[in-house]
Amino acid sequence: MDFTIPDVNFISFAPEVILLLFATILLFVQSGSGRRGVCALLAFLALVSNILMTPFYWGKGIEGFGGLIIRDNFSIMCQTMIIVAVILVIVYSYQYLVFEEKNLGEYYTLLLTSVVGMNIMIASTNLMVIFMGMEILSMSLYVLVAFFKTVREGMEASIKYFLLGAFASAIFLLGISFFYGASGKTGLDAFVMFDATSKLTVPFFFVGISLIMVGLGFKIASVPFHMWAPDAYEGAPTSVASFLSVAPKIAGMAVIFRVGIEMSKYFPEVMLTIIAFMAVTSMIVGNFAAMRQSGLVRMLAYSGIAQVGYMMISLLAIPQGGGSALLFYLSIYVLMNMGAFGIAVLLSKKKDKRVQINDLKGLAGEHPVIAFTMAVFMLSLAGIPPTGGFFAKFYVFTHGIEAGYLWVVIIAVITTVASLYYYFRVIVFMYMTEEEAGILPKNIGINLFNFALIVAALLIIVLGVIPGSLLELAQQAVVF
Amino acid sequence: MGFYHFLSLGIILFAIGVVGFVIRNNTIVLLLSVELMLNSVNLIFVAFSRYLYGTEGQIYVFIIMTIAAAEVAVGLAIVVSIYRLFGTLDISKIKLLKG
Repeated sequence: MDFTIPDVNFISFAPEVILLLFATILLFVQSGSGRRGVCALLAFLALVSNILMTPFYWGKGIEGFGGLIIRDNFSIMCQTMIIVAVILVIVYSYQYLVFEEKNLGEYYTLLLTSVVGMNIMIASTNLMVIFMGMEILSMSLYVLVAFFKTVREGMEASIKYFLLGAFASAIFLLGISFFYGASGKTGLDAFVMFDATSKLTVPFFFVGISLIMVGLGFKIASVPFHMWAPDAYEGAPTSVASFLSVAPKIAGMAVIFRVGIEMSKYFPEVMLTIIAFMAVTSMIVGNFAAMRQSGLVRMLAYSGIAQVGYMMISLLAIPQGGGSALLFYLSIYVLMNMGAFGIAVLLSKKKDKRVQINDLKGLAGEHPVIAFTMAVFMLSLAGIPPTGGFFAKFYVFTHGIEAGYLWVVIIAVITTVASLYYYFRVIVFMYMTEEEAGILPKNIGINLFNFALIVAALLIIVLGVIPGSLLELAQQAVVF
Repeated sequence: MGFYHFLSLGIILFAIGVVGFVIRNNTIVLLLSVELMLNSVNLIFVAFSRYLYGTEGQIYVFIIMTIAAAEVAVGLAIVVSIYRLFGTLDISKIKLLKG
């Protein structure tokens, strides 16, 4: 076995290096009054510089570290979604962390390092590298969830999230070891050399893939591995919860998609059975559990679990081009879920206060614009035209039917109808009740926060009316 | 002592870790169980690489050991804060969040 030094192509890794540089600088920002803006601005600069670099990478398929990092269009698109989500998180945090002056630099450092972890996860096809990225992401998030050290709910959420996350990564790792045992490689391209001459039997391989799917199922909070999600979201600082509900799901779905492409070429039935099971149970459990919730964040957590189920339908149709449906759904999901969590951040004034759905009572009377944006987010999550959520669901469902999974789509439609109940309850509370004065101050005026919410709502409507350009991008992104 | 001995030892250790994680309540013991699981995976990697393939698998062990150490560092920090706040490490007594 001859040893060659792999070609470390620095260009392929430049966005992560920039993020890490800014993360290091942020560690040196001392806490004190007036540093809130400095920290947020530095993190914002890092992310904007990353977004500005994407046109340069688009369509080139740059590889680095001897093929361990691949910047194809798919990874660029997923990374851009994550960066958009993190920019929204920074806007929320700037508003939300007013009462916490300590350790602000560390907060933004951890946000940036978790983005690095997700970028690595998305941009690799080697399971060991994916595992490294997953751990960088998870460890940053464990600490972020525990950011308010004195809030009991937050620490409880953190220990639960940490223990179950560590358990899941151990299972994921066992899956990698079985995969390695079956093929002698950890790259997903090991499927190519997989045939009857392989040293171990096929069952080994199937066990490996199943365990890997369990580990990823934890990260995207799909049923039956979802039990940490509602607790973690509710206990975490609300701005972190918004991040937690969007970004790791994008990264996890991207990895599942990459595994699914290879699997659908060689052993389609195994992968499809696992995905169909996870999709159906997620939709049923997520939607019906969300109905019983009185807390806004908890309701959104279960709704997120259901949304993962809808996304997974597109994975059933990978040979029929389900990847573009997945990317379209994810891009709309980033906007609508971040927006809905933004309202929760706006309503949570104290750090240990949980937002209830009742708190939304009479919001439309005093703050018509904010109520309107929340209504758009809810309608989009429910999948009502003319919002982007409708088109995303429609596109995913048509792909599911094309792939011959009519029964899954029928269940999805039924659960969508059921989900109207809890999404519309929020709208009814905002518009039909008048008595209680909202917990928001009378005049909040126009600030960055409102501006971000309005932009997100308008984007959702625009993408619902003219989805063509985004769809075209998504279709370009899944051509390998 | 052949390949299957080492493989079964690894799987049995992993199973012990899983059982410990499920039935115990002390947070420190849960952390130890996770560590046991990670290290049994190390053993499986070494067994595969020693008997079937090249040295690649033994290099993964170093990566996994590093990650395990980092994970314990984060975990113990959280555990210390938990003990300060709740005065107990029993995970079944820490249930402010319903569900």
